[in-house]
Amino acid sequence: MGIALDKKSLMAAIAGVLILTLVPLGLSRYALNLLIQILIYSIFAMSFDLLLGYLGMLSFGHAAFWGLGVYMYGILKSGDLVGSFWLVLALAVLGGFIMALFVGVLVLRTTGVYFAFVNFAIAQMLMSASIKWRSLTGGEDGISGLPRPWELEGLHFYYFIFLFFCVCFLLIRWITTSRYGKTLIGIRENPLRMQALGYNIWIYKYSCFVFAGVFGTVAGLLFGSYNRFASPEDFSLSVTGLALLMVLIGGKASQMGSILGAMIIILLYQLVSAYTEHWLLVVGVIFVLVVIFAREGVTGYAVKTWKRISHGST
Amino acid sequence: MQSKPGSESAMEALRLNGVSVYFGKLSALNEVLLSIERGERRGLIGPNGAGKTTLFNVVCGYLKPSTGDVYLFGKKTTGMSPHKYVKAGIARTFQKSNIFLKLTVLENLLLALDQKALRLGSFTMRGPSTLGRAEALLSQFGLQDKTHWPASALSYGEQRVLEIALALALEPKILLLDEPTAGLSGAEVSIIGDIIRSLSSDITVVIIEHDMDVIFDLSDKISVLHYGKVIAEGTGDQIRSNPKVREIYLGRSKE
Amino acid sequence: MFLIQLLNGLSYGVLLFLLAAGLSLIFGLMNIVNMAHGSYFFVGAYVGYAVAKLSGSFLLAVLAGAMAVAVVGILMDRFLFRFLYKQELEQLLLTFGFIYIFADLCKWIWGGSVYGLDPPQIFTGAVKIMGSYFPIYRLVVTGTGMVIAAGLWFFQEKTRLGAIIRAGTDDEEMVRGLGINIATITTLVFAIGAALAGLSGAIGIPMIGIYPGLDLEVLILALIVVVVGGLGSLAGAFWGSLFIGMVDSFGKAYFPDLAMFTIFGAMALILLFKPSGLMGKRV
Repeated sequence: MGIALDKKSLMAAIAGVLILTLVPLGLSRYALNLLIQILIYSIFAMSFDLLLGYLGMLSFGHAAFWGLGVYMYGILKSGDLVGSFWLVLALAVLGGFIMALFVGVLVLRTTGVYFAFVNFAIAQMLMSASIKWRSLTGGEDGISGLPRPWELEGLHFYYFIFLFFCVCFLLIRWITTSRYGKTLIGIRENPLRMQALGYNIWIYKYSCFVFAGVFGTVAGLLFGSYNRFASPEDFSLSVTGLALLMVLIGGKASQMGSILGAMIIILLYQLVSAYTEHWLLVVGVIFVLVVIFAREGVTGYAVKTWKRISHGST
Repeated sequence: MQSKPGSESAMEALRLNGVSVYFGKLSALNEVLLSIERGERRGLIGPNGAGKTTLFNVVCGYLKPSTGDVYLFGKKTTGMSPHKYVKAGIARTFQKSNIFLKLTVLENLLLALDQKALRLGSFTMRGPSTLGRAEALLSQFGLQDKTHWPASALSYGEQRVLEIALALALEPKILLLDEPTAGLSGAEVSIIGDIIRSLSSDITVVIIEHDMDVIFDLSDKISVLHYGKVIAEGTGDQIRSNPKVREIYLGRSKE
Repeated sequence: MFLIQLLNGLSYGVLLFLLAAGLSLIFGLMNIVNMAHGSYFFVGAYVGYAVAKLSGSFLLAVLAGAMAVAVVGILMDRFLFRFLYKQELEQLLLTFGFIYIFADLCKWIWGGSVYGLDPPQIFTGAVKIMGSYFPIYRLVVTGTGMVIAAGLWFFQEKTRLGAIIRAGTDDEEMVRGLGINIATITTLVFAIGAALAGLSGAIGIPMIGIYPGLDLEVLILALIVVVVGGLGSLAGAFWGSLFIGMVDSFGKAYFPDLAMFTIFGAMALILLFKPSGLMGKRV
């Protein structure tokens, strides 16, 4: 039992933890907020990567879970309905789990593009539900003025998020490096062959969908606690689009890829919006460029170049 | 349980009882009656489109028979899903090479071995015994030098060998080989032949083939399929001299 | 009242059909799901609006909308999809990126306000049916849509080109083997599909107007239609659109609070029993 821990990974992990623990001490409020966003979106991207990178299944509706997480925080925390954050967390995880259980049964009846759309439809359905159900969700205006958990602010809030990031990272890494993860990859590469080897494909797809859903919900929950605001926009296609873009740019089937992708996109957003309000246009163009020229993402090309270097020297 | 009375069922590995498969009005298999004994080497021949691969698909659970039943070791298994068939002891190879091209040879085998080893331990790492068995298989099939090669880098003949290795990694009781020598050179054909000959007599082997030399050489008994029906069954010599079979293969066989 | 709902559903469904038909056609031949199809509708509407305002002629506006989007479609096919030949996931993602591009460009050029147009003079007003009033324009749209639908069906079933396209849907290699230039055909199909989308966008202005977010709204509806009716089937797109149009119309009338739910519910039910839609090509 354990996570893939060869010496290189272990050293990298320790270095990462050290950097992410110490550097923030010297960062401005603004930079700290950026880092927090990067960590939260990383979790979301990693959860999306479970489906897209490891299982090879594209969903256009992952925002359904993000929005669920945000609204769970919003509903349970507005007016301090539920005092304990741990209870809110538990309820959110449960909520995401149950939603994934039900949605999974439906959407896994489809494959390919149908799968992508049906998930999209579900997210849209939740969006219109959040608009219509004013009494619960505040309708179009959403829920604002949410408190931070335990009133954490600034650096303390950062470490709170960092803690969750570490836990999610370790759990997802465990899932993907175990035999379960290898099975997912096998299903992605050749589902017929996996069946012929005696694997029950449906169970793996279903469980992966549930994992992705739960982690996506957690990411949304954390975002709600950071942003202190829940709105129907949190179910939108653009949220899913962000996850997709982050995973594509960073590299599929890779936690580092998701994290890098999140970092690149968030920093890019800061850069671009300083000069122009046409961020969407930039996103679209990047999408197109990445898909045509760089679909392995940053980590994909890094691995390729590394292989070429180490084989080329012989 | 619906096993046939008598001592036959104890020796019987596979039985098809009046199995028909219809695609619309087209019958791919027509009231097929087949009984294969444990440890037997059964050859399955017939012209293209006779239904041989369809038969395999039914026996492995990819297709449900429109009528009739399939029995594995006396137990009725009609309608089970493919992975349950594997757990029941059947493994197959495919007509077209169906391995994981993007994974290494070793990873291909490990996936097969993992399935056998998997019970609740899905989230744990592989034990060293799995690796050991993989290496043993690699040696057995002469692929040990190409352990870390991506499967796509293997020659077609080696890929076919890997395909058989994958099936054997599952430690099956019944092995179905779908045209294992198709597209191979003479040398490669004899390698495959050697492999099949070296298989343990505990395993029941059913081979679909077009290469008559191979089939006659390796099979104890041969069934001839034509338009979805078994039109002849017998030893190599019996089949060779069967007038119906000669008619079908007029101009096709090398004799 | 019932009749009015029926007509409403019909006219809405027909408009959806024009949009969904293009989506289905493009998928049928090229295995590309054009996620930017809603954006095509959007662009067609904006261009139509601009031309209508400039020229005063609605007919010109509709034609302009269709043409403009057709050109966009051809450019996208020629310069982008060529790069990604046979890579369906990548093509899908590419079109997804274009949703952002079109949305932003439209906002840049025309701003984010809501736009509307009155139907052309001859078609204004309502006609009295069984005691209630029904807009003449919607009847015209229904009629026009039906004519186009019939035309498309005729084209697909009875013409040589249609036969080639149907063959290409099933077996591209064969068609190529027959010496037919599949590249031109795909560009043609893409252009037709795009033109239909632009056309429906322009025609739809007096019915739904133009507003930010419309592109995604119609995309969802078009996707639901093709999921329900089955991708790649023109008949599926037709019946799917009418079905969704009716569900939407009656849903709004009798369950106003549930709105989209009736549509999603219908879709979910159908998927439960037929995962590739009622008449779909297997994905």
